[in-house]
Amino acid sequence: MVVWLIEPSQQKRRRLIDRSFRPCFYVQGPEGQLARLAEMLPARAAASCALTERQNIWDRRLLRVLQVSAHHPTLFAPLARFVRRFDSGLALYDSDLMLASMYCWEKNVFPLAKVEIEAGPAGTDVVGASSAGPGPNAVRPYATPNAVRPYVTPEILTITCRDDEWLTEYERPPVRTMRIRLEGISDVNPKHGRHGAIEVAIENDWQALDDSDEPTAQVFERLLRVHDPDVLVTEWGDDVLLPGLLRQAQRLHLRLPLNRDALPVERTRSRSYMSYGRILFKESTTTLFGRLHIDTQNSFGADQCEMEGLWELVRVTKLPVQYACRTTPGTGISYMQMETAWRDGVLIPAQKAEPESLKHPDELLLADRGGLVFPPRLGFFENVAELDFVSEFPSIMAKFNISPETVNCPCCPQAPRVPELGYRVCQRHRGITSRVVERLIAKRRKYKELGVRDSGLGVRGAGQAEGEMGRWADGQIENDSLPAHCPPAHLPVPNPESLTPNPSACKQRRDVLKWLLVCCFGYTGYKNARFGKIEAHEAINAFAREKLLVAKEAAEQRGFRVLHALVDSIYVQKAGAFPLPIVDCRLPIDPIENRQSQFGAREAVAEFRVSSFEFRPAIENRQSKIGNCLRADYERLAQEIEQITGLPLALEAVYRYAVFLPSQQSAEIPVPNRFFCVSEEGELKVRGLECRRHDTPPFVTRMQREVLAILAEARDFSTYCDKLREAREVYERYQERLRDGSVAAEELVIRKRLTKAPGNYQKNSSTAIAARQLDRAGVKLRPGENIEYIITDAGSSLIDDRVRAWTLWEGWRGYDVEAYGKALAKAFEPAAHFGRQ
Amino acid sequence: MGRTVATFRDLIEQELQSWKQRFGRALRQEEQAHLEAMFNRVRLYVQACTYHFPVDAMHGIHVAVELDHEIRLRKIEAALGINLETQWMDSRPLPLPARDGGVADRAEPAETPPAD
Repeated sequence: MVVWLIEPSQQKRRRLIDRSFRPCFYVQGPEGQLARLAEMLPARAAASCALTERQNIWDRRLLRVLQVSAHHPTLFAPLARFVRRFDSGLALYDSDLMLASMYCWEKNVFPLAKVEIEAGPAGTDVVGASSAGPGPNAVRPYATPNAVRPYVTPEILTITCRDDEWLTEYERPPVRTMRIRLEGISDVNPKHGRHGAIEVAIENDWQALDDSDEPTAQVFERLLRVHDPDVLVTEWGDDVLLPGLLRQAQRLHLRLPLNRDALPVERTRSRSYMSYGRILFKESTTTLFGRLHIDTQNSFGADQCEMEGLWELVRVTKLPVQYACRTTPGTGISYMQMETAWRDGVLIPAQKAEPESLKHPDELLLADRGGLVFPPRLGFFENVAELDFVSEFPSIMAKFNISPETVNCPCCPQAPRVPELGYRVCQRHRGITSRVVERLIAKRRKYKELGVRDSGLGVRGAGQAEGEMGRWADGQIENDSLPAHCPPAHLPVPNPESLTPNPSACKQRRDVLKWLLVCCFGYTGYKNARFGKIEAHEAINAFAREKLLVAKEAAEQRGFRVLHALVDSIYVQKAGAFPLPIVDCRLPIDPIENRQSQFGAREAVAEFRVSSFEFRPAIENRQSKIGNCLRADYERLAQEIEQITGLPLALEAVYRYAVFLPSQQSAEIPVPNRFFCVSEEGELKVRGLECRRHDTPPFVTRMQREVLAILAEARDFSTYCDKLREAREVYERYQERLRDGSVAAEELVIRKRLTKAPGNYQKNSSTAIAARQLDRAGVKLRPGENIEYIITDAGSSLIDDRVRAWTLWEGWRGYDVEAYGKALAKAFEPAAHFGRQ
Repeated sequence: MGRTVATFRDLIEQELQSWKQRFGRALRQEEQAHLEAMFNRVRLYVQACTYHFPVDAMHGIHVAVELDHEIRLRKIEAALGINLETQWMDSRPLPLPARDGGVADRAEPAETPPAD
């Protein structure tokens, strides 16, 4: 196993090899077959076999298995393949795990950890023998024969971790970063015809690589040699920039040292795939040895949580950096579960082995349900509080010990039952998933506290229920949480000032932990998850529904009005203070007549609003009385619900006002995710409006954000109406700019995901037209890819004139003022929906 | 998404489409819109339908529609300042149909002729 190290004292980058790493997998089957295998394998390859006992995850029985240890990591996969071919009836365990992660588990280290190494003399290593590649799907997992040549590498004798992945205050890796991008709109795929110079930045000093004097690859090679970066952060580097630079270097017979090893650069193919009914596209990848390549356009972690989040992800999941940033958090959480199982001596199946248990159709109807969503009351509401269960689903997993192997376990027939479903949950053993999420929740809470402390705000939400969660194991269950890999006494004493993450870093790290926790719940119901079991998923949902209903009942009993509830959060208003919403929903005398029906009936609109202007003075008086104690009331409610439910609950915010909007199809039907609120501090929370959508042109997004920012200054309904006048002026200004043609074309770009290949579209939707244009221009488009276009003349009888793909758009084509004007009007409507001018 | 059983929101839509096909076709145009609106209003109580989840979705839809009528009736009473419950045990004959097919006010009982 090749390990790359940064020596901080000398700022040196060292390549070392650990020959002591012998990964092993397990085979289960008839004793005779195992004995034959134990004779055959050592004779054919550098491997050793031994009969041993490991635990089955589902029934905790000890199974007699054959342990096969590969003497060299490169033999691991071929040996597993051989066993599978030898007898397909044999069950393999631990056979398809990532070697880099297995190395981390065995040596108690993790990527980017501080380690202490005792190294032997430099030996000769055949380059290409390393298998610490970025993932199992590599096209060329091993070096091509011509790359195999001797390489002088010191050997690792001992490696000791001087770090702890569960620390919240740690030293960031002292890496040198180089950023590479193509000039222009960063989201547009260069493969769709976007041209521009390559720009490179060292320490945020951007410079364009001018290819008029010398080829770009040559300039880049020089920069790479001079600065020798540890991390390359690129935009479209995986599929376009790095392969393009390599091709140019090859043409020029230039050696472009992207890898620090002499190995060739590793690439994987692109692919389209379905996930939850949506077609998605995964770009090809370009990963490096001895250097890290992160493509922000092809990276979940770097895109959602930025670099601090990525470092955090790598530390807790122990996945190689380049793999971690290109995979979903689900893989990360799976590996965390597998590590726990591996340390427990539990066999890890190659694929999901636990099918759904048989159910009566009635039971299936009851079980196969998600969280509860109360449609919101429509209207403008003042002084609304949002109470959130903190990491509710993971908290349920931790508190109620819900893990795939603990639900309906064979050892506890008398265990308490899951509400509604009657499933049993193990009372004797702590579940693998429960232990993993417990640590993640605790770390996330610490980051929350750190972030809040640094920003000078008070900590929101009490931690009482989390304290209870920590005591869950007392008395009943063996406390076999993850062993501490590095005793605290061995840890270096950090300088607390320099290691404390700032609020922004805290948020990035918290976000990545949140993603892990979210996926942890989702993976219990995922068909391919190794530790997935649908009954666990159903049990979590059943608890969530129960807790939300208990919270609703508790709030109502205490005189609060529930305006909206969304799985793990509940929006309440203090009843009595505001007996009616300031403006309730638009209640037509006959609601039928207020809309265009599917049958085509349209009649005169008669509008009648329940208005409270008449009793406004009364409200003002009451408001002054309750003023300060309102927040205290909400906090008390949060604490009480927390006590009743036993799950941590936080008062997320008290909003000056909340506006719950109806469906765009029907003015009287509420939808769960279309609202905006303004907190006491003036912060906006927006859900489901145009500015949150990815396919809204930036011009429209900007207008809506500006309008909402103005409205955020309002304190109550009357100031809201005043501000709405101001906001309308902004809206009119945007319309004016649109009409006089002074809007930059980049601001009108609409971005859509292709759901099929360009030739398979039946109708002439805007996306289909733009995709066909790109297809004709020679761009190879695959389902799941994003394309960008501008509406040029939506009503044109010539189909091709309606829209133009962004990379093919020319200035003379202009844009469709009417279509964008309508988009602006649609984006302004939510602000004006309940307003009065 | 990824579920075996359709969500109740999907079931409302399925039932609406199914009822629109034959039942809806035989309605007058001005009545058709009401059918769709009635089903749409079930969405206001969808969380209760989801939580109860009857084997036959129409049972949940019926209760939701009736509950909606009850709530709206009470609101109308409140808005008009009347209480229909005072007429709960009224034993007078049913109202007579109006000439144009609407519902006429309850006919006042004819004055009893004075006894001789």
